[in-house]
Amino acid sequence: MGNYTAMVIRMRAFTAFFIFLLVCAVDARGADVAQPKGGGVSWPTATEVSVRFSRHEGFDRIVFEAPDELFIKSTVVTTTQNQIKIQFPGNLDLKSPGPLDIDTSLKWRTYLIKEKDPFTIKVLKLSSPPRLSIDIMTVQKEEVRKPAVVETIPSEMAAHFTVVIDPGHGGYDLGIISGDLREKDISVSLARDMEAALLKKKRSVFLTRKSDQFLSIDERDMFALQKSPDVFLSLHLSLSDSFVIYTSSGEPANTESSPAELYSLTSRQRKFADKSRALAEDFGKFIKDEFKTEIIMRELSLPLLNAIGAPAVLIEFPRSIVYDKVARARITDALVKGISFYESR
Amino acid sequence: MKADKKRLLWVILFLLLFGSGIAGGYFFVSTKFFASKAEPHIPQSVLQPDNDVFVRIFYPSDSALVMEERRVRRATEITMAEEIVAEFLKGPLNRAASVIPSGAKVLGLYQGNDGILYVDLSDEFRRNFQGDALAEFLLLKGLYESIISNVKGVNDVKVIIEGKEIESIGGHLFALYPLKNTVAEAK
Repeated sequence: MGNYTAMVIRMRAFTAFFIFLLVCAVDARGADVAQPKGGGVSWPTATEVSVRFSRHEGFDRIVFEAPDELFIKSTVVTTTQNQIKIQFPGNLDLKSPGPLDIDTSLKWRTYLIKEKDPFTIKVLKLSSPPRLSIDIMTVQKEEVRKPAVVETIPSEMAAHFTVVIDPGHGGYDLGIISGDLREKDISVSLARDMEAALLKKKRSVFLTRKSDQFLSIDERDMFALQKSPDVFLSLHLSLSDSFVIYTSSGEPANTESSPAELYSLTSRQRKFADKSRALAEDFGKFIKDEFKTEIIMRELSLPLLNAIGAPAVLIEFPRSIVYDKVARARITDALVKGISFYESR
Repeated sequence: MKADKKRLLWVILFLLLFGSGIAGGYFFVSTKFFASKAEPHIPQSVLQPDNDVFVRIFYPSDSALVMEERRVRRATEITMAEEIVAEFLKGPLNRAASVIPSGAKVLGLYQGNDGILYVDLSDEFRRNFQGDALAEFLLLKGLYESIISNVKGVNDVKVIIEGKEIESIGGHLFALYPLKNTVAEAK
């Protein structure tokens, strides 16, 4: 009887032990399944995070890449006066292709970037692959910009009627390509022809670019602002077979909390809207007379025109024209007549 | 009699141990070794055509947008938005007359807390764009309208290229800012 009781006790003990094992296994499974759903998620093991650093014109970029998107999404970036604090949600196994050209340190889950100069940051969290990108921009007290190109006439003539001509595109931005035709080449050829014609008429002329170089919209605007022109003209090609003349529609329809407003890009053109329309009509009239074709007039909130504090138009020429010397001379003649007519108003 | 009872107890004990071992082993092995390889559970109903949804995609065409209906998988908003952008990049049925840049791909979508949907596209979207100011305007407006009119909870759309902000896609309009204001009007 004693053996029997002992056997029963042993049997119960074994059963309890296996039930315990069973419960542990179920618990472990539950924990693993619950992890990716977020909400109080923890990363028990170190997450492998690669870090890359690169310097660009005007900003430095540091990018953290992790295999887990939730890990990146849960990362918090804060700044103080002289450092950027990146708080990761779990331990890191930080991999870097080499020493970073920036003052950084890693303490526990916190990555610190120290900056000597005042700065602002732009944070972007992206998927595919999951990564955190931080652009660090040094704040300059007075933003000094270089002129995009040198002046084309002596400064003593600056008191005259001043025209800024902006050949569209340039550099790696080819614009429209049609066979051998490249918009960036046509626009600069037309601009140079116009420059020569206007110089003969004793006008001050400035070109935003005279060679095959890339200029941003912002650089073109800044150049025009420096020259305080009486007329601004941007030259482009159209996909259609028509001449299209654009004026600024003044400002975007919904200016509420518009980020562009912060840069005051839309406000300068506002008070020149009527003069810009008049200038567009004058160009349209002489082009129509020369080419006997209908001209399309459009208003569009083009940032290039919005920022110009002067009468400003953007003209697109048909890509179907063969831009030989004769065609360019006809276009130049029409545009110069348009400027002269506008000036005489 | 006593020997029979004892044998019976051994048999029961063996069966219990064996059963518990099999069950415990199954849970342990399935948890540790097969959990990561397991296919995600997709309800069969999701794969049915009935669960696809028609969306309206707006493509640039001459001087306006044209709407075409396309079928995409009904899924989360972000996944749907990604499929919508992919459909947009495929271009309209009349691909020859399209200014949608060839070879452009969706690299990823991310929605910020501010309701802005960041659409990360491959560099072909910028590099292969061939168009004038109106074409660029319609390209961005078409992308914006295609997302906004089909995806809930998106307040605005911002295009980034290869994970980076760029000033402009075609040299006429800003891509630095979300698109709502950029594509607000044209006369």
